Amino acid sequence: MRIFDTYISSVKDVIHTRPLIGTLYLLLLVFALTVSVPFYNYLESSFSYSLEFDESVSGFDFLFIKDFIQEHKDGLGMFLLNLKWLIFLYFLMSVFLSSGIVSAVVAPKESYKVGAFFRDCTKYFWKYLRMAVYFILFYTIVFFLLFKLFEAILGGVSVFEIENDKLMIVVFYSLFGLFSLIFFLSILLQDLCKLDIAHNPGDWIYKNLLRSLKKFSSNYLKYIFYYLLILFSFVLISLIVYVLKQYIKGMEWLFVSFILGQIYIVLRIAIRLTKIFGLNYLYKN
Amino acid sequence: MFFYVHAGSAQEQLSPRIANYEIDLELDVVRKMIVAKQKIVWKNTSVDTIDELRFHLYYNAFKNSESSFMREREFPDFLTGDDGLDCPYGWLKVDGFKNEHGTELIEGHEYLYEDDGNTNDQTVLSIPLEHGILPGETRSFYMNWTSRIPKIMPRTGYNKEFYFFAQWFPKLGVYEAAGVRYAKTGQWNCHQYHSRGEYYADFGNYTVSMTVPQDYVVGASGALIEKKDLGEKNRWTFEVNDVIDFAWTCSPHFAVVKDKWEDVDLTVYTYKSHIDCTARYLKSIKYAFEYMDKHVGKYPYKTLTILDPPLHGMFTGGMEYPTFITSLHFCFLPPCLKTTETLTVHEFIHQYFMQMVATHEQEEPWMDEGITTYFEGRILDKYEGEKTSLIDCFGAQIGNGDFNRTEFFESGVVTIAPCSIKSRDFEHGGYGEIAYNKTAIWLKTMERMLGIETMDKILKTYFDRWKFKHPKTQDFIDITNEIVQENHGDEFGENLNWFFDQVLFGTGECDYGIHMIKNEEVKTPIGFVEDFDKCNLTQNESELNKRYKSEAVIRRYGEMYFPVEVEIEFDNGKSVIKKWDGKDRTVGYEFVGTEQIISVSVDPHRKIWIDKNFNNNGKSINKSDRGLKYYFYKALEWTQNIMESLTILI
Repeated sequence: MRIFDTYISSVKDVIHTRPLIGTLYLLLLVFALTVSVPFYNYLESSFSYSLEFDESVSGFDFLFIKDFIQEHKDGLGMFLLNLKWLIFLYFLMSVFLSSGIVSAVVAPKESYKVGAFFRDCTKYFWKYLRMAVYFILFYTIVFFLLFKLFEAILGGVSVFEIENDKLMIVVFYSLFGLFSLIFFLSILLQDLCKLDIAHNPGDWIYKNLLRSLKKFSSNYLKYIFYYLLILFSFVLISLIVYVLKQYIKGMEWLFVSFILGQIYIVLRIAIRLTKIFGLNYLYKN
Repeated sequence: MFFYVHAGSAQEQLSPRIANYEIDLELDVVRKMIVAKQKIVWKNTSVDTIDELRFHLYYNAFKNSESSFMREREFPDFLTGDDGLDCPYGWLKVDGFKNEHGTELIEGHEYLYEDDGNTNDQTVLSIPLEHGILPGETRSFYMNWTSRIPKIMPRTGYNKEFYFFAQWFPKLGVYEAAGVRYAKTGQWNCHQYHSRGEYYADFGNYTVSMTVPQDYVVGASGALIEKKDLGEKNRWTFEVNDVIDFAWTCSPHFAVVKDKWEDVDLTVYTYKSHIDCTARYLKSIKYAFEYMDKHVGKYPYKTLTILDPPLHGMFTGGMEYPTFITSLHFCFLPPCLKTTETLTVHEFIHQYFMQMVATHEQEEPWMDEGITTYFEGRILDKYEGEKTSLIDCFGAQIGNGDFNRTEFFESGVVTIAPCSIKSRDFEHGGYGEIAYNKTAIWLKTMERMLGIETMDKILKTYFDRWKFKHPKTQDFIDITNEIVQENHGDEFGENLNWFFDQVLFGTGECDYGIHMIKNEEVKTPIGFVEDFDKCNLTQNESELNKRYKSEAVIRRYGEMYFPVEVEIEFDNGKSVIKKWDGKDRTVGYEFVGTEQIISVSVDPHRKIWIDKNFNNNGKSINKSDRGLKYYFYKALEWTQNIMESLTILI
């Protein structure tokens, strides 16, 4: 199957799984509301009668923000602490949902049922969680090694040892590029591994990983091009939304801008699904 | 010939030229040493006979870990266990000191430590004279000295092949005659070298010759008057008149860029990899020249040298010396972060405040760093935009003045000490925040309270009256009171001492806010019975319209007080401005009529820049629905995007 055909087929698949997109969007919205509603209440109780609060919406106002933080740092500190736990919870939930998504891709059903989706979410939860932890560990190790390499090339990270900062920039960008490349390929490999787990659920993770590596190495150009196409779609959509938002600045457009933001979130979810659908086609072929 | 004759220089004499130096030195880049001969021509302008001379030996601050300088700051880790050629310590030893008759006087020398009694400190040297210097007499002395150059010490030293020399030679203290600053009788003012604040010296002429390896390029205060080829070495001679100090630098890697502002020669010393940043230096220095020329006074020197040190030489960056400033530029920071411009402008302003108006940085740091920081904000806000003069990146905009204010109020040391104390008395922190930022904040408050014209007149008068002299705090206050009286009469009281008592000598905070807004319907009598048989009521006119008793209460939360304006808006679109002297803890304004108060704002134009919280300055009777909606939508959208991005790791 050619890359563009894969992409088109995947987009069609995603369009057919609208209820799945809806479910994912709603869950994301509920989680985001658990953060933003308390924030709203906090603002309402502490600040909503201030004239400066009203005026601050007209643009970035450094003084307003800093005076606000200075005055409300205790309240904001508590808020950020809660946010940390919510992000952790969302991480777990994403692993959970990921299992449901892959199941829906690997074994599509005639009609979408919420109950069935959530049942599927439990299928590979533990394996996916372990794999996510392994990959995060891998990124940390890669980051650490590259940092050590950065140090070694420059003769230390002490500014007093660095001959000139131009060299530092060149080294930094080169290593950053290398890290991005490793990160990109690892994401691809992780997604492949998730599919492999769904196709061969009885195997140990290392076997899934090895098989995914074999699959990738036998046809790496196809996988990379497909992921670049996905990346391009994401960048293009982000750019369009950004440009549109520049035209609808101002309070009178606030709601329209918010709706556009929600459409953007839906599109991001759709791109995520397109990625998995397409990868499954490539995996099978 | 060793010594030049330059006392009768043709250049117009700007200063009293009390302490004059001719130095001839050789730099040994292998042993990291300087061997120098120094002629000192000193004039006794007091009515006393002076029988000793006192010198600053700044390099001895780096001689041991127990010097006052080292005790006062965190001891650098790299100063342990290293020896040989890379030994980072530094010192200066006076090997000989003779008078005009060739009499050796060094034998009687002693180190003084009057500031703190620290016997391990050798940064002040006293040399008794054989014959006292009579009032009005000018005498010459000849000194030989050797110094070891420290490695990466604050503001001076070497690293790799980069050398920077500041506070590097034996320099005379100031003999303050009775009546000069705080001196009741004649006295030497020659403090030990402390970790904060260094400048205070008499004006004089400098001729300095440096013999350095052939491949080294030298940059220094003043103008290059001669470069002589000595075979393996070159001898560079620089000259500058009417200044309080001299600094220089050298490296084999310097690229030199030249430009001009009016008749002033601008020279930038940078490393080749930084050559593209010189445009930023030159642009900012030119607008700083233009601004100071217009608002303060003329820059009278013919040269200005700007050093852009390499990254490994950044310990010397962001400093000021007569006709020579050091800035700092990081190639990895985008141009929308204007730290390069900020440093360049700041250090240039020092040419006026501490260099020409020669205040005492150790004793009255606010007069040096504070006034400079204030002008830094004014200049950058004008040329780089009030809201964008520090950062203008990706929609985030921060002005220099705004950042200064925030830095101060977030520091946690707002009330730790008054502005007026000595730099070394900020024992428990707050030096930078109070001497620099707080001064700039209260000067801006003063500017907005009095108006820019009065402020400019004060600063211009201060500069004109005190250039090439040594003013003290009270001199600034006196000029302010004089100009305010002239321009505003008694509008701000008999004088502005109440203002200085709070901002300069006090430690209080300022915070005005709206305490309460209330609108109550007035229960008017519904009528009068005139005919008891019929119980007819005569109606009041007021019955036709509802009437309200509206009240706004403004509160002074902080200790400081200033005259403030209060703007009150009514539901019929009208607004009134009330003037409040700001002294009482609260003030209430009552109105009775058909209109209701909808909002109140204290200091609506943010004149009182030292108010620590602007967000409580205005209050409305209605909730800001648009504000709540705006932040709710933004928070929701941001959270969704962050969470969706997180899925990439899963």
